[in-house]
Amino acid sequence: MKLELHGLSVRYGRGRNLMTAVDGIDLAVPAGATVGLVGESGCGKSTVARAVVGLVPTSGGRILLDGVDVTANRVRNRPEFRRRVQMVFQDPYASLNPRMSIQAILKEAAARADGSRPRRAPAEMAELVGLPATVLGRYPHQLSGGQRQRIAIARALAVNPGVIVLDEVTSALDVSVQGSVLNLLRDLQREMNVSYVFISHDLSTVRYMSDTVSVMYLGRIVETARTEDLFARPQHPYTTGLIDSVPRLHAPRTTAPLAGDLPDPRRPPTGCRLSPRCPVGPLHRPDREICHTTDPQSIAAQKVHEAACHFAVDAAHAVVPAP
Amino acid sequence: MIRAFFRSPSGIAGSCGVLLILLDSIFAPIIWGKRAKAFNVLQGDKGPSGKHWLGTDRLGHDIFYQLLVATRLTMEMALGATAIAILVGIPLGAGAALLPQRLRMIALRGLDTLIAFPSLLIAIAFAAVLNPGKTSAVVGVGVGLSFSFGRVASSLTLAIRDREFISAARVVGVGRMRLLVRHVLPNIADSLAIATTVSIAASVVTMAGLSFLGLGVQLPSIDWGRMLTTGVGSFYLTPFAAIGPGVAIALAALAFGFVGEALARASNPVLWANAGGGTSPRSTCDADTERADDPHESDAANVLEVNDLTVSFPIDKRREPIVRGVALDLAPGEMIGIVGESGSGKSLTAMAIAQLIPHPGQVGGRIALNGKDLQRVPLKDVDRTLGTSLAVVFQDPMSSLNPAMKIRNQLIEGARHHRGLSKAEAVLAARRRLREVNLPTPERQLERYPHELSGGQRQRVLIAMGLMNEPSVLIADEPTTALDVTVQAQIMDLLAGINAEHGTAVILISHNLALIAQNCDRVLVMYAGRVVEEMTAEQLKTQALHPYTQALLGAVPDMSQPRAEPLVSIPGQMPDVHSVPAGCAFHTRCALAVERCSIERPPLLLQTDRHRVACWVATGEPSAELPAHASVAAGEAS
Amino acid sequence: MALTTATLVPEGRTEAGRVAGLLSSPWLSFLRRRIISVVVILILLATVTFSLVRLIPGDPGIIIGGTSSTRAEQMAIDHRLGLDQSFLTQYGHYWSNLFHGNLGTSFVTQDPVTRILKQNAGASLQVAGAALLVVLLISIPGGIVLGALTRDQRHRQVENWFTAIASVIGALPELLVATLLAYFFALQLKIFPVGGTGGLTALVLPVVAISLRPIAILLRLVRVETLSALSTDYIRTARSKRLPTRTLYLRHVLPNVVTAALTIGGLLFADLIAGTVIVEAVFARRGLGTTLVNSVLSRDYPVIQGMVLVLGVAVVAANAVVDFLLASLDPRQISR
Repeated sequence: MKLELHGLSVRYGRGRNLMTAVDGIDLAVPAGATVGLVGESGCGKSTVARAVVGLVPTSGGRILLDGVDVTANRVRNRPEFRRRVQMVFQDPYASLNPRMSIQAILKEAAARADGSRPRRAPAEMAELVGLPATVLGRYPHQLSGGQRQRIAIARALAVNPGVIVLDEVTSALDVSVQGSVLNLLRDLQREMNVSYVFISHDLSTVRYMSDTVSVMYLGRIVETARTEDLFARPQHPYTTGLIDSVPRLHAPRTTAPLAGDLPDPRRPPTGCRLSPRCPVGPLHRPDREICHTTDPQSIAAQKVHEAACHFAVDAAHAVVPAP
Repeated sequence: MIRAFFRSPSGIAGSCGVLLILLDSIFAPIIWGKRAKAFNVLQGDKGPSGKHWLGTDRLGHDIFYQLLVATRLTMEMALGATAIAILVGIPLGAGAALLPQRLRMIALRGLDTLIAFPSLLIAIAFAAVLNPGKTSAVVGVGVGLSFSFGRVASSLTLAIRDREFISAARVVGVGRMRLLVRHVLPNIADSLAIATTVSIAASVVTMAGLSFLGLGVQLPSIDWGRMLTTGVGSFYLTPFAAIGPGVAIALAALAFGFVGEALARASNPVLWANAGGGTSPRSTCDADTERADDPHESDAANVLEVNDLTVSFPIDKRREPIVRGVALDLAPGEMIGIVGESGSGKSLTAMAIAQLIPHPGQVGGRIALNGKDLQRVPLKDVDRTLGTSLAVVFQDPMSSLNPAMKIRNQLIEGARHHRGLSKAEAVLAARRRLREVNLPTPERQLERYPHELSGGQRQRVLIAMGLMNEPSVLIADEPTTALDVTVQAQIMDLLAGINAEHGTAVILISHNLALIAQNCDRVLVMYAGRVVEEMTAEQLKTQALHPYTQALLGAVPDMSQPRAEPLVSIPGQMPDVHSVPAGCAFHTRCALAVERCSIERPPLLLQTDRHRVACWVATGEPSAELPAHASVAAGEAS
Repeated sequence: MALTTATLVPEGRTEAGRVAGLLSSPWLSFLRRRIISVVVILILLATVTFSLVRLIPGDPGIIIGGTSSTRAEQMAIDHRLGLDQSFLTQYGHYWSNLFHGNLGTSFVTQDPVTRILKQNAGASLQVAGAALLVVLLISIPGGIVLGALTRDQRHRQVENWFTAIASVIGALPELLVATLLAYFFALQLKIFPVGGTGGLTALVLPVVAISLRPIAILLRLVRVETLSALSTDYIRTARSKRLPTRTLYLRHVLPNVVTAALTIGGLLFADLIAGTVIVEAVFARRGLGTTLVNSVLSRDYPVIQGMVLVLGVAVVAANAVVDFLLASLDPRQISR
């Protein structure tokens, strides 16, 4: 199932507290593929997830599912939509009702599946995610984090969806369990031809899971490319900084990390939103005043990787000044 | 939950009391109605006797039977007031919580103000408007209590609305009605039940006060409050006429209060999970005799030496070791990493070194800081030794700073106490430290409160705080886990810089192997409370021997790994403290395990230069033909 | 690393900017918000008080004057309450009287209500104020000591006994406590006077009677707050600095516990005011409570209105003071 976002915006609050959490992003998820959405906390990636599944109303733009407009919040709250787009949440401790048995949780979801296909029994669903049928009689608090997250995945699959939004699904899990959950998700995708929107702050996980990756910063997508391209030849200085920040087993970090903190998302900087932190921006190159004055978002389409940067090519080859 | 409720003595006592009160209020008027009404003026104002257990009132009514019969009216009024409180309060509170944000803030503030008005005063106001009597009392007390009900309902609604499982159920397509019945109500029922019992208790007492003031029940009807009033009138003649109803009121309030408290305790699922949970298979860890592993050669130059460190906690009346026999040494200016998952004991090891294990935990083994054995240091000097030579930076910079104290005072207090600096000197030192951790405008940062800083800035403040007394050892416990990757890189650079410039030795604790490999000189891998492998960072990258270390390296995607390769799946999970398998703790999850692994624990033995590993298979001795020193252990273990 | 420093310096701090910053400082905006909300609440309170008489079902003239009164007498009552005028005129008059400090005169004694209030408020405030002081002085140090004693599940016996005793005391009605105190200490032992308003000794029993329950409640709360403060990360940080125990408790635990104690303390003060109503009746003391009850029983509406207004203002004022104290103790409150 194909999911497209065109200029999607989500705003919270009003007046002084007005915050544009998601500011006109475009995203295309082809059928059976995985699109990764990566960024730091507060960049708006989780808001995208919640907006897609209809948990928060959109303020602008369009959402298309197999070419059909489903932007109206009303539409995304209909059972037909629910059956096609599902979500798995970050915290498997919070996303399962503590007062319901695993059996009841899975049954409730399966009961909402499309009636034309045979319904899966809870035991079958448990098996699908690699759990024995004995877990069905238990309650969420009696399972480990990894087991709970598998149940949450089974619940999402129970309605036979075409798209699953995976919001930081491994970040609450222990290191030794993460691998098996990610493997499971890859296997399930191959088996069921479901599309994933894979959201995470962890670049290596996104790299492992995704076919294409979009990088978000302060509510905007700053760069989109096929995974190999993005990691081998990042065009946007933020992407470069982000990739360089990830600790690697085999290579020491060579560049200085991006300086400073994330600005207040309610009052984003003018021009390019990265300009106050950018290693190739006006901070180090006083001649690049354009970064303060002109928002590069509109020129993104003309650039390689749709990188929203006035000096995108530069960024790829720039030698960042050593500290 | 029910089992947990009746497990507590106050729960049993409370529910017995409530049951008695309810039975009494149903049957007493039928059985003893006549006896309570019978009077004999000649027997008036008499003290307790065999015939009249609590004596008689002025007209010679038997007070004991009156008390039993008056229960009905008392309870009717208390239950009536509570019913009004629920019917008014819950829609009020839930409605306020569902308003748009700005209106909600105003409504909740208003509710807060209303709660401040005691229900007795509200009931008096109602008595002024309506005719003082039963109705005005019930309505007044009910309205008075409804505000606190509203508050409970509003906070419950807010809490539930933000719970993720509600969102999850909505996404699956669960309808509004089912959402309410199946997901919302079961999760708030206990809290409402608690509020109800507490509210009944409060109305019994308030109602009595009203009757006493003459603003409640009017004669000839009697409730406990009215009886108390009459009793107080003749208190100096027959005190039991007042004490009887007084005690009844107190007991009823206690009974309902106890039920509420027991409900509150029983509704905590964490508590009843433990109380009702089955016992998991436990290992015979007593047979797992502690045996000194390959000893580290002691080097006087080390800033920190730890030998045979154990940390144990009592669990189910047994003392369970959680950290078992950890040894490590730290050379000046060295940076070592301890890596492991949650439950591996890595943080407890760090806390034990810093002497921060909370009661009732116990620490065993030898810890020497700058050559001084902490157990031999006189008690009065331990604080100074630790305070000046060792500092800790914790995981969560958001909660690790005191929210009610300025950064300045938090920075200078340690230096002032341990080094006797004057305030001005300490502030000067604080400024210097803040500059060292690259915080701009230190003068201004000193005057700020923690909530005014970002996460990265707070972590810098914590590091600056650690550096105040120029310690020789800095323990950083997951210092970047709560931070974003770009900030993580900044903080790691900072720690590396401090390590290089000041020669401060650093123990970095993390679950992230790559982070440790990139920043440390040596690495200790922990599993189920033990060090299973110890090596240099270079060896970790290419020559890790222990199957657990290898699995960990393969379980998380790495930026340089080909994407098509599947990750390593490690079956199962880290064992609980009380179910650590015998033999090698990892053998139940290990692909290479042989029989010996389940019987005998492999000791941590030196392999090659600075590389120690605890594994029979990796060290090439999986069979039972053992070197002499190991066969002793086999004998002990069987 | 020099880059970091450069980026984090706040942009252009001009003189004008500094002034604007001061005017929009969190403290000022906090005060503005609180003052607005207090004013709104006071207006609402006055309006409720005003409506009190108008809410009486039926004809107030008949209800107040009694069914035996003549029509002329009833008309006179209506006139004195201003009920014969249009609603808006009444409301306007009410406010203009309020601003002139005129709360009307009592039906019973014909005294101005303000004078009645003045005569009685002192005695009640004495009891409530002394009780609040006693409650805070016992509960906060006591609760912290209990918390320190029972931290990390130490001294389980102490904890169990304390919880049991505190729940029993928490359930005792002031009425019963006051009566028992009067019986033992005034009548049997003759240590304190049975009643009356004069002197310090007359204050002891009423204060003890209304303080016991709030002390039991607040002690438990402070103990729990101390325990949760002791388990916070910032206390762990403070411990890692190896400060002496005294410093740890006084500088790190106490301020955070006092915040919680004050939040509930505001509510308790209102409860204490309600408690004075009861103990004044038991110990035959003069005070607002006795006046209020008598005026309700004799349907002396001007006095009732004055009382409701004054008690309401006391509660609102106590709340405002608590808010202010909280904000000065915990800077996070300001930005909320």
